[in-house]
Amino acid sequence: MAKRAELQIVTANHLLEGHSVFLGEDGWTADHHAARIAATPEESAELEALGRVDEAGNIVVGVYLVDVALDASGDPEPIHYREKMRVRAIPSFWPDPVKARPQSLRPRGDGEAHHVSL
Amino acid sequence: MYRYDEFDTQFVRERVSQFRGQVERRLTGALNEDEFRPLRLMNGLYLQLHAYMLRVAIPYGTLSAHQMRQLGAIADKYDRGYGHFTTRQNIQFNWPKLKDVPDILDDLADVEMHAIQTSGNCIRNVTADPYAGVAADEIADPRPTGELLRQWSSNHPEFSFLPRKFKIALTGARADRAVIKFHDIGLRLVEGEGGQLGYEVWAGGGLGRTPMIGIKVRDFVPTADLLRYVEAIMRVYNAEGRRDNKYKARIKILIHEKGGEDFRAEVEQEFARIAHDPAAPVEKELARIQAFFAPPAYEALPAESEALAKAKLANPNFARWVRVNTRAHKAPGYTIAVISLKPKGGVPGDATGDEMRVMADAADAYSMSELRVSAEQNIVLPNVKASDLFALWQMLDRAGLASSNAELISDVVSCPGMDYCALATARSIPIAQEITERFAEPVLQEQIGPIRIKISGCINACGHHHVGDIGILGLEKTGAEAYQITLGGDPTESAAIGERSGPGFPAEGVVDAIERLIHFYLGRREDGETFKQTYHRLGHSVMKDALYASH
Ligand code: SF4
Repeated sequence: MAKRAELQIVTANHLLEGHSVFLGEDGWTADHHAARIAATPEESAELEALGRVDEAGNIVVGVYLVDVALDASGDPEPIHYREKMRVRAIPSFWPDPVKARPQSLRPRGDGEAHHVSL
Repeated sequence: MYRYDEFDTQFVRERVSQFRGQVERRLTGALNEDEFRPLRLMNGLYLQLHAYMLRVAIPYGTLSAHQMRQLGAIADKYDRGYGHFTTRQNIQFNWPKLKDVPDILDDLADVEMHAIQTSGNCIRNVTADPYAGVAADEIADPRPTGELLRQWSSNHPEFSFLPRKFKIALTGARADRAVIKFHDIGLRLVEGEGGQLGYEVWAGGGLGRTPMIGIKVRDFVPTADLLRYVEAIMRVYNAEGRRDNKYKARIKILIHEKGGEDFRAEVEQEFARIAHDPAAPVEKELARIQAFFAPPAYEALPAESEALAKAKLANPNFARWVRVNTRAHKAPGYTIAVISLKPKGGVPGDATGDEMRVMADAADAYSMSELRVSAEQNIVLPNVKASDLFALWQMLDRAGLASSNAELISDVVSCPGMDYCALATARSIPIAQEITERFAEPVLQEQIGPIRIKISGCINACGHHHVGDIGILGLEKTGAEAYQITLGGDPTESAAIGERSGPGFPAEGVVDAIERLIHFYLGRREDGETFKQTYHRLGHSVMKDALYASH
């Protein structure tokens, strides 16, 4: 068994649109860097439960926790290659993830600012 | 081609409007995901790694130019401008939005297509020889039987909740291009005594976690009795197939656990119980269906086309395409042309909306408006006059659709793998792309000769890796993608399951290993030998060592 990672975020798919989303401070976002980070098993459980509320509320489907580590700029990046591909939101052999990236579901105050910059 | 009657039309339209209602109720929350999931799956809608995926059936792999054009229009209007043709003669759209799916299904119904039973534990899309009805080595067209099976299995009340999914494939030819020995039921049309037509029946084949070659259940079942016989097999399976363990629920496990003899005996017993009813509408229906598949009026043409011979002389690239991508047709002066969906660096089986339109136009202009999808994820134009081949090739070439690699090393079969699929353990498409690039050189490809490379991104084996001369299975090993290679698989009448070589390779090492093996084969082959023949002559252990030997 792999050791449970320290940090986790919550992902799901947008019910209506289908694309992957991450639970952020103000709702779901397509940008995993804007995801809320759980640092303990208790926080993970709490975060997942929050996600389930929106699943029950028919906003998202398929809620699950993703193990992450912080990158050099302090942003959460998945540890496993499957979720590394998932956060990219497009096939790995497509060149430009930014263009194809779906918009955030609930735009936050800073508009485009939380989009991934490469 | 078969055309829907009133019943078919009504059935499909009703399903669309039911699904529209179900989507609406899902969006209002009247249905939760647990309630909705089986409903969407019954209509071919999956949730994948990045998005929803809609799988559309192309019954027995046959489609009209009109239908192909509509698939292209759907790709452009609702998706990201392309679709993916699969090893089971379906097309998958990778990015549909849930709210659009009822409209997509309506657009499909407009051209007599649907996504029903492309998922779930039911009888799936019936597949067939992509050259059905036109192959030179064919006894008779199996597609009327395919259509009969499609109608019979659609919404069949008794067989809608089977222990597991159920796949049927059929062929009317001597060479097996429909992979029938690896299907739950495989049917091969044969001639019985006095020229009577019937089917040789195979069952219990399959790939996936437990690959097995099917057993022959019966040498001959007259066509008129076939439905009853298939029903008898389904009954035995439905009653006795395991429902306690998903991994042991396919008919292959039942037959394996029970033994072929017992299974056959039970099927025969059940078959005898289902009384033959001369008044049954089956024969009338089969006759009605058969009329749709009557061969077109072929012109009386000379076997050799002078225009073709001249064009080949003048244009070596065209000559190569004819050599590699055309197959023998039953009517003199006609040929079967394979449009390869495996361009250098491309995604196997993918076609853009524009490409679908070009293929539809090509079918209208040169193939009596008909196309086929093959288990190799290519498109086939079944009825091309030899004298039209040059014009066809020019049209395809302009659209980048004239890769001359049918059944050669760069004609790689690949499932979507982790780039799309939620179940994947590794990517498969990038490996396929690297192979098509590494072996792009056309002269080298012809020199290597016929060889099948097949890649799956997990043990489910949608990429048919077990039956590749070289099979590649993507797995996870200590947090990274790893690729296990099998050798000696064969999807045809000489069916064989590939044997595992040694330890797997990291993603960066797979294509190097294959290149080492190919060079070894080229060095050791005897005159005129194919890869398969050399493999059998030298043996597995010699060939597999070549994967690992460093330069
Ligand atoms: S073989 Fe596995 S990865 Fe490939 S399409 Fe099938 S389920 Fe997905």
